Amino acid sequence: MAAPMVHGTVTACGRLLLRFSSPLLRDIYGNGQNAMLKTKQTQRCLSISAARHRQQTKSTSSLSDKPYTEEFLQEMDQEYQLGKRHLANMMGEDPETFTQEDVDRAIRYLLPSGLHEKLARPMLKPPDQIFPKQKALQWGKERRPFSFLFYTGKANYYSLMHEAAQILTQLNRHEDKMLAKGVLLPDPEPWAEFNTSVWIDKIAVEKMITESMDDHQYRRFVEMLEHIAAHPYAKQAAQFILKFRQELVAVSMKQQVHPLMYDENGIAYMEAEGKRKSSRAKVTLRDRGTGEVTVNGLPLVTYLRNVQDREQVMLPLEFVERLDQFDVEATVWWGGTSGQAGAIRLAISRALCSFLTEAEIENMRLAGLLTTDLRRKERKKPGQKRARKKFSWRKR
Amino acid sequence: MLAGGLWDRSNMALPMCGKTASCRLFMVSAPRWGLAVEQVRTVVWHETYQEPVVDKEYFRKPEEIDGLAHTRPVKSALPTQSTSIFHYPEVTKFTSYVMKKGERALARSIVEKAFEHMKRHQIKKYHEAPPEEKPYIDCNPVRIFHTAIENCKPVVGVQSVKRGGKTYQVPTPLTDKRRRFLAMNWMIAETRDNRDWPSQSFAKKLSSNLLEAYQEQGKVVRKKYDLHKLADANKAYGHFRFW
Amino acid sequence: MEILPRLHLFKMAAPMKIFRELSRKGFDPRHVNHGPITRSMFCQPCGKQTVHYARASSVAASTEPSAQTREPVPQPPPVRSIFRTPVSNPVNHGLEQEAQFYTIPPDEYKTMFPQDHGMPSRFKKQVDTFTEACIMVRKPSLEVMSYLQQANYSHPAIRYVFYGIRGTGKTLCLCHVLHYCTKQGWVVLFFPKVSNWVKNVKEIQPSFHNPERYDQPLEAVAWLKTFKVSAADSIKELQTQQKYQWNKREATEQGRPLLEVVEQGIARPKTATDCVGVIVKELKDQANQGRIRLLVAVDGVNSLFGRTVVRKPDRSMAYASELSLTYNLRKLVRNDWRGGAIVTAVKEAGFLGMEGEKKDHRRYTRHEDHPDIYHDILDHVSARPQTFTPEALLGKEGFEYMDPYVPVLVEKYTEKEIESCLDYYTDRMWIQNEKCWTEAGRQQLKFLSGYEPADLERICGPL
Repeated sequence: MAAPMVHGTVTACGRLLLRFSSPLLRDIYGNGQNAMLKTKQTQRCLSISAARHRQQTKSTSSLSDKPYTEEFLQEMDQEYQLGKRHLANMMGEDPETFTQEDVDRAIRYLLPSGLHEKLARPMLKPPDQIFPKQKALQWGKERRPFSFLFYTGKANYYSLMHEAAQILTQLNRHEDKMLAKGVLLPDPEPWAEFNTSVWIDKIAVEKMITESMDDHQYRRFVEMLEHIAAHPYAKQAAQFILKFRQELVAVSMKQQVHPLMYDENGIAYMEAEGKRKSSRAKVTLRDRGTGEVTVNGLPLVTYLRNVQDREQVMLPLEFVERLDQFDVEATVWWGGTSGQAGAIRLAISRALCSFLTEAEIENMRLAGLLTTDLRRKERKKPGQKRARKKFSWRKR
Repeated sequence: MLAGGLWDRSNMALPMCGKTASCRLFMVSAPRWGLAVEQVRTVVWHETYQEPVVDKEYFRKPEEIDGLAHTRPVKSALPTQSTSIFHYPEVTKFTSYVMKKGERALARSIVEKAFEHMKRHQIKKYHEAPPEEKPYIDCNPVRIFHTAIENCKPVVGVQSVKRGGKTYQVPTPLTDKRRRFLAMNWMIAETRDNRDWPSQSFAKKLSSNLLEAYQEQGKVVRKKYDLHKLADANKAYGHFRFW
Repeated sequence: MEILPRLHLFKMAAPMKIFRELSRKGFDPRHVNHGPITRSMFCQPCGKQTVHYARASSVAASTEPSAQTREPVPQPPPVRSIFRTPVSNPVNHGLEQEAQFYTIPPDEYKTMFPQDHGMPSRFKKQVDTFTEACIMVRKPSLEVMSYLQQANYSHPAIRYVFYGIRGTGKTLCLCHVLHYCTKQGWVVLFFPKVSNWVKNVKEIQPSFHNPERYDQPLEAVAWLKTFKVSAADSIKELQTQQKYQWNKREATEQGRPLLEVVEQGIARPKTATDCVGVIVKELKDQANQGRIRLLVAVDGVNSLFGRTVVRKPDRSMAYASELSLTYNLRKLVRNDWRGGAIVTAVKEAGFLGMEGEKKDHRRYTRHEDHPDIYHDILDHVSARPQTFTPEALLGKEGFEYMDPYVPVLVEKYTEKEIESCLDYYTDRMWIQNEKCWTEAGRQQLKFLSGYEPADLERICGPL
């Protein structure tokens, strides 16, 4: 919902807020919300000029493929700048150095809102965030489509594919030329940007071409790009290919390590939780121990009679060669023995992270000790004997 | 932004036991991801997940680890993988072949019992042997096992090819995996239907078979030679492999 | 019967006595500690740690190659020799031999334990494989031995009870004490695995004297046979003190050698159970008169009390007092005699549970709708009760019967003991894995076995 209370003192700002938040809401809630929005708008009609109001109602009522006009966006941008300056003045700060973060902070301070839905709270954002990029108008004044691919129904998608095909043809031509020169195969060049990236996903491509596409079409697109990337002279089309690549970030950098805790004797300890299958485990790892493990108050060997399960509990400690450094106190719930052992393993490795260097944590990650095992039992299917096994086939 | 779900999942490893976990599980599974549509089996892990390496030796030389490995998330290590003194990949594989109905603990105890029988046999031999013979008696059951399996691996196999309504056994080279599979499964099959010693336990029979194969004798090794002979006899059909 | 001192206090004081005795001999206990094993001890002989498994086997169908062409197998590194003590007489054992292995001489082993009877089954196999019988000198047995040395034998016999969780070596401690007494020339009555007498019994028959009681001829004959071998030397001179009428025709006169009674039992299985009773009675009398020192060693003494799983002819379960073998044994365990000692061990294996108590086998519960909601842990994982204390195992009846006694706790291996044990296994080629010869491998073994002797032996099996 739009901001419920706008005081007279902040009318200029409040107008802006309202106007910026309403199309956004339309985007979120779809057309079903239009009626309500319109009624709200009529209440505040005073503050909106007639032309703009026409524009506004038009854009709200029509579907999203009607683009915002250029001048409308410009106008919105001006209003945004103005509102920002107003806010800066109200907060007593320099309008030139007033950033978006300051804007958010100022609004939070001036118009505190208890609404649960974050999008319904008052906000002031630059227009390009609120009015998403939309498909440009596809035909001219005499109602002739600009693009020769207009009647495919997905002009942008097919023109993208067309472009890709052209690039491939160019590359092939270049290869022929080189063959004529006598170069059979160029020396493979290292292409680091390509190797450390993956193809962007469907949603991103859709955003890029402002058209929706189905899975099949996305697959065709990726196949096409892979074809280009596998070309011996692919690096010449690097600019085109890298547009559709997403850089991979080192996952290790994302590991979150909690700081150690100390008990009253100054001994470091760490707590963590883990799970596997339906088991849950909580583990306390104490430094300066003797390698003693207690599970639910019993020694490990009494609790887990299976050697493989004990090996699992031992694995993280053994992997970093600190078998006799820690005392482990574990509590497990639910599940069977192997699931419980796996849950304890995960919890121990997580707690262990706080005691280790970054390189060791990365090694543990590569060994698969810090990943939750997401596998579950596969369900039984109707018409089959088990998850995969079929009933034996009989002829009549 | 782009592969949002994917990266979120690696973050999720830390706030544990969250409610979202089970929902995410289905998000990850194949059909939502365009490229993974053709998968036959449903795999929980996304395709970017790499295999875990549970091997301390591998991490001793950090410069040899592929730099790309650091950028990709890792699957969780399996419960059968470990760095313990008991862990040998070949033995684990053999245990899996022995296993029936997913009872791994039972299968493992059987294989370990067989190893123990072998070791007792060899140690007794060792203690009774004259001193100059002693260093040549191998008591390590794992070493005996590896040698025995190595001795049972066939060099060449046959493949049935239909030509003109007749089936020919055409000799083919075998991959390492296939050779290992044949050797291990012959060993198990021979032990299962051992007619001479029906009431004896599987472990005992297995240990005697392994010890025989260790000395390049016994039924399993004979089976290997039978296969070699068959391939040799059918070498005239070798050209059927190509067209 | 005179009033005894509080036996539990006696137990507390004993280790100090041993210690004082040691320091009197001028022995510094610090020498017993061997330092930690350093890596350098292992590095030399191991050489490279990589293992080459595949043997060059291109020679088709060759028989085992001759010794000249074979490569010698990597041998385990030489270990420190401290793990083994040359003192094979348990009379001389003290704290200096603690945590070391001593060898029972083979001939003594054969006479004491004919056909390995009474030994744990895995230890039997171990004796067979290692071609020697070695037992570790451990604190509990040393403790009992020191008591036996200092006890006043004009007082009624003192009862010692070894107890501890499964697989900690109670039986082997008992055997150690048994060896000690044999060496001192005592008459030893060893009743191994009494729990076998109250379960898996093939055949029972009503007693000749008392129709209320039941004989077990097979078990009695088996025991008499072993007794004949093990005690032949010590009861040679003993004679019967009265006339025994076995049945209408057969009898043994007064003044005959006691061995004749044993022979009688073996020859006539029907009378075997009575023979056991007679031997028990005779030996008790002789000990009372001070002619001999008698050691009664009972393994699994808790089977003598309470219920059994032996079916009587009317298909109901017999009580332990209704079986004549256990009835006779109970008389022996009662301390109404002097000139000897009673060393026993309680066993969880023979424990049939408390009367009127149901066992809860449900250890875990499955999660239903909300796996994330944690309940009180005791609701879901019921920790298995640890019934290894003598009070729990003996039950009310047994406890009242046995009271007062000296409980001796047999514990898991200590750090020193497990080191010595691993050394011993490495020396006897029992641990073959190259990884286990290093310090890291040993640590793994310790972790996986949890310092429990039986577990350690078992998991070393496939190594």
